[in-house]
Amino acid sequence: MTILRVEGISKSYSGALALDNLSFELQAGEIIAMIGPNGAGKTTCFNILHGQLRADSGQVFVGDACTSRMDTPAILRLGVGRTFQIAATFHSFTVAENVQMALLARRGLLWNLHSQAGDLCRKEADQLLEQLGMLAHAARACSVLSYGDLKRVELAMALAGDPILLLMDEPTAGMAPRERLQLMALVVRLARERKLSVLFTEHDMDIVFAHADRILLLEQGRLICQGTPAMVRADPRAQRAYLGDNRD
Amino acid sequence: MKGLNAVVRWMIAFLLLVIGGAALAQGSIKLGELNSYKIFPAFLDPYKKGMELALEQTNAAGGVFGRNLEIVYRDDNGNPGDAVRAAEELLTREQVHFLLGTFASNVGLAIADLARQRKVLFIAAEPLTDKITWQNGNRYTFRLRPSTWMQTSMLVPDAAKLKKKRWAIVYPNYEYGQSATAAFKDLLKKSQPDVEFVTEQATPLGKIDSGAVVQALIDAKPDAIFSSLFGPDLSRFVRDGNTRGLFKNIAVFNLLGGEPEYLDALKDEAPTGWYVTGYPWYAINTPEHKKFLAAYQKRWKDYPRAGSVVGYATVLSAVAAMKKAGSLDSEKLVAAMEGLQLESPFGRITYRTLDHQATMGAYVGRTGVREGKGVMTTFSYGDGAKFQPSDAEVRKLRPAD
Amino acid sequence: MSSFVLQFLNGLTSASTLFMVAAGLSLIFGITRVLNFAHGSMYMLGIYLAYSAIGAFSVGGVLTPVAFWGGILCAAVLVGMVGALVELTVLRRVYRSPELFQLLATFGVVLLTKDLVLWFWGPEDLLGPRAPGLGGAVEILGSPFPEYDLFLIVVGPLILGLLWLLLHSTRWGLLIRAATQDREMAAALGINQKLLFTSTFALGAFLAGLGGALQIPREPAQHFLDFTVIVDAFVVVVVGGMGSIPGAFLAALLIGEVKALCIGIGEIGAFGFGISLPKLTLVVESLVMAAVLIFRPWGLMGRALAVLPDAGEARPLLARNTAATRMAGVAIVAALAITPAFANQYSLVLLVDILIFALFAASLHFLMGPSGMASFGHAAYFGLGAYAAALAFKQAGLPMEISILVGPLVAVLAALSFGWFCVRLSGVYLAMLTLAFAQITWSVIYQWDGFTGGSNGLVGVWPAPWLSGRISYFYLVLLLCGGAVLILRRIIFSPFGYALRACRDSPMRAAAIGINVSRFQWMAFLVAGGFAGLAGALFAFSKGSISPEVLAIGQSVDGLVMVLLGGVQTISGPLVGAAVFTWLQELVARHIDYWRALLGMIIIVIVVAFPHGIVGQLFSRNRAKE
Repeated sequence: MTILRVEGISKSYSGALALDNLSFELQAGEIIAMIGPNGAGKTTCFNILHGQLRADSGQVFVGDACTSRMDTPAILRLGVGRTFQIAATFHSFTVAENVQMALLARRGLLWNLHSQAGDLCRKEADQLLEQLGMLAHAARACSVLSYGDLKRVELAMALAGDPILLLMDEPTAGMAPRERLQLMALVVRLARERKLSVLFTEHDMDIVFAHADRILLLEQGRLICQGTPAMVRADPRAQRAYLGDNRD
Repeated sequence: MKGLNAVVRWMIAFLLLVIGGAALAQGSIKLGELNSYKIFPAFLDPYKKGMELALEQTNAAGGVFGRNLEIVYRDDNGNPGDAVRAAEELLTREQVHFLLGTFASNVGLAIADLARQRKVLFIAAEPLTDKITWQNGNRYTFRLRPSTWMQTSMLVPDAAKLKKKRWAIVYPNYEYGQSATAAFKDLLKKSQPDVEFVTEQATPLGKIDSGAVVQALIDAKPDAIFSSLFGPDLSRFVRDGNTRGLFKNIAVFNLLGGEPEYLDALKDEAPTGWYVTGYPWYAINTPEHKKFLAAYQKRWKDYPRAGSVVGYATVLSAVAAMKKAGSLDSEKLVAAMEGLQLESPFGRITYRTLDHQATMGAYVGRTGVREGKGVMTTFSYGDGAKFQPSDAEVRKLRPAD
Repeated sequence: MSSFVLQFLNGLTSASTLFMVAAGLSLIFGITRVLNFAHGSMYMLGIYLAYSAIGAFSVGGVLTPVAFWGGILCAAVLVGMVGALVELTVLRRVYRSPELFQLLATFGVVLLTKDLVLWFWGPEDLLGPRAPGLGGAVEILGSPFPEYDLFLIVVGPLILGLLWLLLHSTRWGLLIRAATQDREMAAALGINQKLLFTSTFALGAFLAGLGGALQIPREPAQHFLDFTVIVDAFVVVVVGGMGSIPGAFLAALLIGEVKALCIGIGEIGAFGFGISLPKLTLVVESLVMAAVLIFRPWGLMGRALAVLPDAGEARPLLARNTAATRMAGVAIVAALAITPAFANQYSLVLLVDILIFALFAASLHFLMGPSGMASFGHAAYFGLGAYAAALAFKQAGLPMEISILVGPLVAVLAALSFGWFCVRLSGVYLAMLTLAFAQITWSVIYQWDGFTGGSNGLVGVWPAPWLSGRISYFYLVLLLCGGAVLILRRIIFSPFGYALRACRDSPMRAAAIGINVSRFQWMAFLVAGGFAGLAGALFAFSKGSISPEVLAIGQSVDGLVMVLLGGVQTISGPLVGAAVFTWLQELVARHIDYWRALLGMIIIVIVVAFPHGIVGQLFSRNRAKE
């Protein structure tokens, strides 16, 4: 089953083309890496998929629904979650409260002016944190966590939305090498358990080739090659464009 | 941090000292005086000096009912909210017998209404607004200084005599300026129906854009100007007008322009030949004023301003009222104030029973420069009793008690 | 046509004047991120010092060009030194405080300077001499135009050019620009930040002092100047784009010309309505600012950047009620409830004021703290609440009990309409747009004599007989303000309050989990506006009268001071701040003549001793102990 279908989207910023007629598909349970040098259009693509940007042309489908004109909350309701390149959490909240916040938002309970937010959805939040190995940190402030732990909190928040598709913008950026592998292994395990599709961008090729089912290679807003890791590794265009002089 | 602690300790000690000092003075008759000393110091410093002079004279002459008279001063911060709180403090904690003072019209009106609510006498010294004796007048409130309407009407006879056709008007954009303008237009039209008002410039109080305003007036080509500017606005207007030649061959009328508070700041650039209301302390030759002037200069080594006279006469009014009432009871004091007569530095004045306005007047005349200072050269006293609307009109304006 | 040209020149003159003050303010903000409230005071000091210096240099009373220009330069240099002194003694200690806290310190400096000037120079306006050689006028198109104004028209762009040179061709300028772009990066590169900040302050103050001193032939030195100038300077800086000096120039030009045009055109009539444009000069700055910010959220030449100082700084967790805090709360309410049994009548009057301001501060804190939106115009809702209640009572003849409810209702409507525009902005721009709306509201009430009583306000707004006693009104206020504060607290801990904090902490993440950020922020305006309106309505009936001061800038500033004094990061901080500020002001004003100086000094001492606000500091001490 196709979870995500991108049909020829383009986007330009004041004349400069950031995405040029990009098309690809994502099947249920698939884990796909989107790679390419800085400025290739990966973040722009994510922002369009998640409703923070509008494409100039082309269409995006999540399941059967066309999301090209939807805003973020509507896309979230279709089950598309997201994490950011630089972990974005609510730093005046505890770890548990961050996850509770995501759960409350997912359930549309935010307009409640009366209940004590700290008491709502606590159990579910703890369950999610347990899955991510963060339960011991539940009562700590986000502002004192290590970066790797912040990434896990962010992941928990994304999972709180019960997504069928997870967009992860450089999930391991800024982490120590050991932490990177652990985190990615965790993501993959959770994705397989929950039958989640994942689209992620990444500069660390070890991670990409170890975990991606398929790879999309972007350059200057264009998709220049796609396929299994082995296919991409063998593709001369990929080698020339990216792998050959990868100094990241 | 050690030094800091010392500062804090020093400040606490200081506060305790002042609080202790205030607790002194018992057994005297206390009056509460509120004013915006810090907001309008140029007017209120001399005002307070006038008050103190009158207070000292009263006490030297044996006080009131054989008791010492005491005035408790409070700063109202130029804000009716703070003023009402300060007045409540005076009434409840200081147990003053009645209230005096206020400068800004909004503060005066707020205290007047508080006086009505709390049923205590209030002698409004300075506020100029007509409403305090008319539309918002009440049984407990009396006002000393000649109102906007009175002072404006003192200028109208001269204005009408000139038979100028094209008038330009400039005024500070708040109630005082608006009322003065409305009164002036109304009164002048009555005596000179063909008058034409060619432009009206309302300038933000304290922020006149004098260059542009003067230019706009020049462009309107008026025969005469009526202005109710005062203070820094007036200084800027005069200087720019002089430089740009606005006042050449134009008759200018300026309310309050002859008060030393505003005229002195202009020094040798003071305009000549303007028609103003004011206070020519240097040239008033009545015996009452000479006596006041000598006493004031002896006490303060300074010459009096218009505010000094107002402060002085306010205390005299309070003393006269208490003596006439023979009591400190609010109702008896109010009864005594109605029709109360007393000798002020400007001569005998009366608090009108009709609208509780005192008949203290102002000096009307023309300006000139003498020895590098602005003065009023020719002037006459405008008696407040004569510059009033008809009694019937006042009755219509003033609500029944 | 000639009058149009002349008015255009007049506009240029006032633009030059505005620019000189604004340039220093913009420079200081760009580098230190401090909103320097004392900048107007530096301007005022400049004009007073120039007056004295010129007098002192005129040997035998003869004004020579050397005396005049030397006096002006000397005044500006002295003011620059004062600026450096303020930075060294006060501001340096509070750079690490929560956002806007430095504003409180500069507010203390404002109060102190005001009284120092009064003490030193006396109460009278001091009109300085004309500039030697530039005192006359030249004919332009048949009309005399002051030479000195022409001189000023040249000086503004000249200073712009000199600043540009300083910033672009000296090492110091390079460092300044680096620090403006990225303070952390500049620090990481080993730039001596302390020296940089001190010199920036000195230069900024020098410019303000120069701007003031150069006005000596045009306007008298007087005590209001600090306030009138600072607001205009802020407007210019924001309209131009914070930190952008050419932007400030452009903004000054825009405002100067619009004002001159309003005055020059005079009355216009259209469709049977006459509009007096000169009357608009009362708010022309605010109108221009609102118009610019609605279309250009970062000013004319500003760039999108995190404008609030340390906006990304970690904020502490909010402590939920514990048994101890609950007990403390109950004890305070109980103590208040039995006050009438032993306290004198005046204590009740003072407590009513404190309670009302506590609610006002709490409502402002709801915007500034959990919602992360500083408001410089919060008095608008307070004042509209007061006016709506008073008008419902006086004009519509509603009973007092109903009128009190009309206040918050109208305030909510205003908050919804102002908030709708404001939530599109952020940081200082948002704060200044709230100020613009508040000023526009103020000017409408100030001028609408027939309906609102104009500048005199409305009187006779007294409570119903059964509530008119001091004790019964105290209980009403205690009940309503206490209840409202509790509700506000409850809301902060509700999912709605959490969502607001989420939007503040990370708008990006909040949007990604499905929160409609601007809608929540809009609703925060509703809540804050409504409670401020309730405070205003209670205020009106406690005083018996109401006048435009309740929605003037001073009231908004008082609110800010209360919140910052108590600590913006705590919920009880604003309450403590309101109590301390109201009580201190009352106490100090009652006992000494120079009460503003003392109050200013106390505020400065508090700022230095409690760099996180009073309550904030106690909490952070506790945390440190743990």
